[in-house]
Amino acid sequence: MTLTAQTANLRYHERLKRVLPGGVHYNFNMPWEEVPLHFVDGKGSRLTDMDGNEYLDLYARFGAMILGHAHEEYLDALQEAMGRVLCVSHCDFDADPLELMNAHIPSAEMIRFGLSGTEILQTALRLARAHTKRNRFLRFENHYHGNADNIMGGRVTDRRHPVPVDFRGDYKGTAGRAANVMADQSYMLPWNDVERLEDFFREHGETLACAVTEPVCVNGGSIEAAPGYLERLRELCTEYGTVLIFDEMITGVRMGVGGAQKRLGVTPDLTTFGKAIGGGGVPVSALVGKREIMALLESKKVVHAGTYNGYPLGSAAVKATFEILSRDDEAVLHAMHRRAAELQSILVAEAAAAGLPLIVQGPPGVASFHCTDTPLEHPGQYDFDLMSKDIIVATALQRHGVLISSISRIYPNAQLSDLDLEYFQVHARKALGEAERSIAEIF
Amino acid sequence: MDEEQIKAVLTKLIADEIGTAPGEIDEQASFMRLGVSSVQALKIVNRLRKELDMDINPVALFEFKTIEDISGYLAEAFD
Repeated sequence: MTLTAQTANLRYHERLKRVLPGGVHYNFNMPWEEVPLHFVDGKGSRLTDMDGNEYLDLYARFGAMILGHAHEEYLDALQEAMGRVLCVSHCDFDADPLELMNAHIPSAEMIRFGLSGTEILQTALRLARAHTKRNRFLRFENHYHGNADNIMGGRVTDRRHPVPVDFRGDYKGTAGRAANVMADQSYMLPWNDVERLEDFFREHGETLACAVTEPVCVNGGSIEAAPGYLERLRELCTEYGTVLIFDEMITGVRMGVGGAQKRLGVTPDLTTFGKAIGGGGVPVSALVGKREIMALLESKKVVHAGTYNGYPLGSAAVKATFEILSRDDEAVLHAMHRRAAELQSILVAEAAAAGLPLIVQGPPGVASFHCTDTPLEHPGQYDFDLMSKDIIVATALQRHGVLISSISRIYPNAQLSDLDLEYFQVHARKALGEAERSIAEIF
Repeated sequence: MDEEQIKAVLTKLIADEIGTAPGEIDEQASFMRLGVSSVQALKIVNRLRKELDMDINPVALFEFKTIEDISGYLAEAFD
């Protein structure tokens, strides 16, 4: 059974496009969103669109919706906060969420809240520059750290001088970027190549303010660090006096309330969080880090500002999220991971039954599926053929009522239930059969 | 290959895929409006990248949704 027509949805989209560029508020369209779906209701893991179609939501708004829709305890906490005080610079909501983050996240000696991942990452770069009195930062291919001019898109054209530059046709490129902003500030290396990393540090380490990495390369296909890679990066940063920044926008909270860093046992100097730390209902980002670096904010040597930073509703949301997820030794997260693993097993089994090679890789909570027999070892392996096949499966799932995040990410939530798994099995079976036929036709 | 040449190749591939004449294809209409599904679009771009011998990120297909947009994107990438 495919979904019913998208009549009301289409009509609404046409209405929006008259006043909203493209009918959307952001530019990275989902592969399955030929027309964005507009939802009218959400409960648990399910969403209902304007035409009455039901979906299993494994998209979770780019992973932010960790608690599931209409989570009772979370909504109660938000409503209580709204009833007390909404718009003040300081309130009595701050201490609890900050102390919870401090208790759980290894690098969180001190914490500042912001609103978006893009802006908080820029504050992290600013702090690292001020701390080291150096200008350049290192990032890695196929990682994503927000849409600011200095850090989005680009490619390296000369491996001996690994500076990212604009190239015409970059789908993560943008017109209007300030001239030379990437070339003047940054380097970019392939990830998971320890030899290249060591060579690079030997040559550039002493002039490097910071290195920023996703601890699991979720944006490149949920690829985990090779054994010892993050540990070696940590050693090199320490040796050269370079600030190590983990971007835990996606992994933070999803892999555990202590983030990927606690699970992997590698502690960065600074970490950026966002998305799921606010539970999925309100935007909050956070910059956490070592006291000696964060002290630059206290002394006001480094500016971090924003009208809504630390706003009461956001702080209440972080508190509720950490309380729900950390309770009883993270019981809710463990249950979510267990069900996510079951869902992934169903996907693999149904793909095999349909004759489609498919694996799932990455920690449960931030995993991706790929239409191949072997897990990817570095993001460069995610080529046209594989990405296309993944898109075909993702679009087939969407047609059959299962929403996947880009490109093939599976984001479970705390309310994922056994009934959801049953729903998934029935709908995935139909979708995978359809996808296998499409893939066979193209490749 | 310039933008006009890429446009002509792409228009022909789309026309073949949906069984119509290239002259009937509106270059400014979105793939969806032309009746091209996402799977058909991938199929077309797969043929196109082989014909142009160039690396195309399939995600770009969903950012540039008309023949005109995609041809412009590819012409720049070709440069």
